[in-house]
Amino acid sequence: MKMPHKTHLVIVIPVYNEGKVIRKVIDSLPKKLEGVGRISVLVVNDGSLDNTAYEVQKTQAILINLPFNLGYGGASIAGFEASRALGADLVVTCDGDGQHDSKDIKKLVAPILQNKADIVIGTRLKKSGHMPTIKKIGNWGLNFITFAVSRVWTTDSQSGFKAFSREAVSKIDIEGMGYEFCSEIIVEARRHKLKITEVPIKTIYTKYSKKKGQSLLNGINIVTKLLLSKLTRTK
Amino acid sequence: MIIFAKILSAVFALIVLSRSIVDYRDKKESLQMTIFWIVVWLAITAIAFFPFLVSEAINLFGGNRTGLGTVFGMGLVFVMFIAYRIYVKANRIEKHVAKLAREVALGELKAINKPKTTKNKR
Repeated sequence: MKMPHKTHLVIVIPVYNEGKVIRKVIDSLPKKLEGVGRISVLVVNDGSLDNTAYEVQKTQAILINLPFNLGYGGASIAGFEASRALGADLVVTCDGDGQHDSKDIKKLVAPILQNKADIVIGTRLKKSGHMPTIKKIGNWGLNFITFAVSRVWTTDSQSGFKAFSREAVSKIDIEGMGYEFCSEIIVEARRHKLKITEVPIKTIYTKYSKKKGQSLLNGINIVTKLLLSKLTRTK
Repeated sequence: MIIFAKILSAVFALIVLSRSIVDYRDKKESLQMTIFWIVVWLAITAIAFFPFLVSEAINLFGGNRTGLGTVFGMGLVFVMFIAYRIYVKANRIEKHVAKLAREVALGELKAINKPKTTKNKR
């Protein structure tokens, strides 16, 4: 699919209790990008119990509020639906805890702008020097599980920093409400024969982002839900 | 078979305990419910690893082992049936509620994007 002349990029940030850092994350996002005509920032407040919504309202970002906490997947699906309503040609998903370097957005969208991919995964594991060992092991384990259910190998299936073409956003139909959403994207990409590519990204590990990241316990839940979703999926 | 039962109960216990602890940490479950599930699953795991505890409990209450297998078998079938019904209903409700929540949020977006109309003055 050829990109329109004035490409509209929507950066989706699903957030839950990120009041301390969300403004800094939004302010760091690029205002202009080569090949992109317009950039909108969409924050999906996933039923936060802190001042996240108040902090977002101080910025230029578009805010939508889920009435209660749906989980990372539920908030991301809401972000996709809102992006379609906003007429997005390109969607980038980004975590709200400040672990992603906004300068990498340029690298993420490039393969889609060049029609080389439909989904681009920002992989932390090609530059995983600073990643805690336990997280590296957990991520590789989840990569294998994702490969087992999708037959697609990625080096960072759980990355929240991804870019999607308009076609990918319109075709992806996900039911997972939690972090299994990341693996389900890859399963869906395979089902719809969407092209996936990876680009290495930098990860900023602060005390805050380490605390907010997924735990090993969450990993067990991801595997359970992914397998249940695979077994019960009707489409 | 006993080893299989031990592994199975340990895996299920790990899943339930991790879910409960994560839910409690995210303030989605109360402390009482978290403690309840931890105690229940630790008890199940303990019985799986030390089956003589069941005999001890039966002897303690003055029972005998006659027909125990039948009772356990019937109980297991009933529990599986209840688990299946709860799973199906919870799954359906979760999907409906999530869709509703997203529609509420998207309604908010449509309200923001709605073009402001001005009435023509005569």
